[in-house]
Amino acid sequence: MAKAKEVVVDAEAEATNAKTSIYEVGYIMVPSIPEENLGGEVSSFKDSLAEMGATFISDEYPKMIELAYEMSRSIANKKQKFSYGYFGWVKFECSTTAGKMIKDALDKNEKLVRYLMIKTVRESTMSTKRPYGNKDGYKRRSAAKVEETLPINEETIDKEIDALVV
Amino acid sequence: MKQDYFSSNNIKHIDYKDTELLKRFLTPSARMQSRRRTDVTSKNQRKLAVAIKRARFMGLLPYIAK
Repeated sequence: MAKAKEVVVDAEAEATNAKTSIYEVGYIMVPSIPEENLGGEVSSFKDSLAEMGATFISDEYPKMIELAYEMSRSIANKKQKFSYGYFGWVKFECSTTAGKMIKDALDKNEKLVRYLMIKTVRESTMSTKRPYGNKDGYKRRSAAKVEETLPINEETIDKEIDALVV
Repeated sequence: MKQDYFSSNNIKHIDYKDTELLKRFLTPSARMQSRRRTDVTSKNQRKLAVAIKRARFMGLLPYIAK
């Protein structure tokens, strides 16, 4: 009886192993990587994912961005602060167990300032339509511009007053 | 009555990387706008909130703008 139960448990475990999901990893690489070495870093990063069973769907090559706020990350037991970073993302399919392994590997990767691993869908989630209205969004409006006034001419004012009175 | 922006533009998934879109739903101090102001459905407002929080975590959007 116990053996039969074990078999059922094993079958269930296998079924969960076989279950695949679509994941997306967005990452910020440390800005200290020179531009010419970035390609090698990205390919080694992707190779490490592929080794763990990831099948790539789409990706975007990282590009240098200014971060919205300063981030800190301890690299080799030293706390470092970052205001810039190479932001890129990769979308892939893998089993749920491989997903956990990938997450553990990303935690240890010292080339990354930060990463975000989310479950997503196969098709592109970026909207093609641009938003209307205030493009700047959260940006505060600059102080109201003072309208330039023309030099006041007394004759024209008198004429305008006369016109109003009449 | 205003229509839901996402439904009218046939946007099913709100991506955290689409910062230009997300900025539209933030106040000048980078806070999330309420549903009353955004005019989106409850479901999309929840998706929007998640996307904004993800973008903030990744440093694509600020938590607060000075």
